[in-house]
Amino acid sequence: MNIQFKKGVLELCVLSLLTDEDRYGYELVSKISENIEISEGTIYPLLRRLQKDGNVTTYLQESKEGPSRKYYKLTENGEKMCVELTNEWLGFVSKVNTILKRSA
Amino acid sequence: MNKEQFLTQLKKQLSGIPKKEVDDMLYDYEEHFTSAAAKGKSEEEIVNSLGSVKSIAATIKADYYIDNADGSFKPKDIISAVFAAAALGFFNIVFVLGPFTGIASIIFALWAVSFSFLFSGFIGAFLYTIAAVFSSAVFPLLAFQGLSFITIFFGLLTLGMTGLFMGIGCFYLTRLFFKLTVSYLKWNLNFVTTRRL
Repeated sequence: MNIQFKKGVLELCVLSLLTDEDRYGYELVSKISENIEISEGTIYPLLRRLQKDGNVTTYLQESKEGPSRKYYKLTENGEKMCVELTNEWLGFVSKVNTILKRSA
Repeated sequence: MNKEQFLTQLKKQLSGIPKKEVDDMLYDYEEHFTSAAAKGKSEEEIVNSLGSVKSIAATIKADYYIDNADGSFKPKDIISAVFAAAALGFFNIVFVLGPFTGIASIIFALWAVSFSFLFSGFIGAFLYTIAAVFSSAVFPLLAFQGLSFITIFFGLLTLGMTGLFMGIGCFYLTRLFFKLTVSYLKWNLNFVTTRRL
């Protein structure tokens, strides 16, 4: 898929995945890369940015598989942002669809 | 490339960023390796799907240096941010580094003019006074030929003052330029960025 296109969408995907439950980094990465082809390493800078901007917080939790994992949790701001971005996205997609599916 | 090499290379490429930030970043990637390995992936596979160290490092650096330049008026911070953004890809070399270098050169030239006015004006006025006093002592008849001394003295003083005010103007212009640069870089990072995903 087009690179420019993916960029903003990726942020939305992360926020949306976090609305269900708190997740750790690799979980987010694999959920996304199941569907969209990404360089997995770029998710972590994105997560840091979301954290710095106050859209997510993190906490450490023990795991069965070894050392503690860093979990990401959506903040109130992050929830708002997710709703806004989702609406923007859906609005945009429906407009594009209108054009694509126009009856010639 | 294996896990060890990936982490070592990433650490190396992130030199210049405070150790604490780098350690935080590396922690995320180490955790990624642990979690992915627990799902049965080999180190080789994990490294391949992470993407190139170079582009990951470029993204992290741009994020860090642009944040660091936000609210700072140190030329060093601003320049680091501009170069980190330029490293994100060809597009940014043209649309970040190009305009920045152009405008920065103009502002630098204005500074140079201010300083030369300032110094030549004030130092000139000072030396001219000494010369005038001295020559009046040696050649009393030529002493302070009225108007011409005052004209030249105030002329030089005006030059110095012009330099001073231009310098003050340059100071505010530079601050404004830095501020706008950082705003543009932040916008660029969010919307125009050419970082690979």
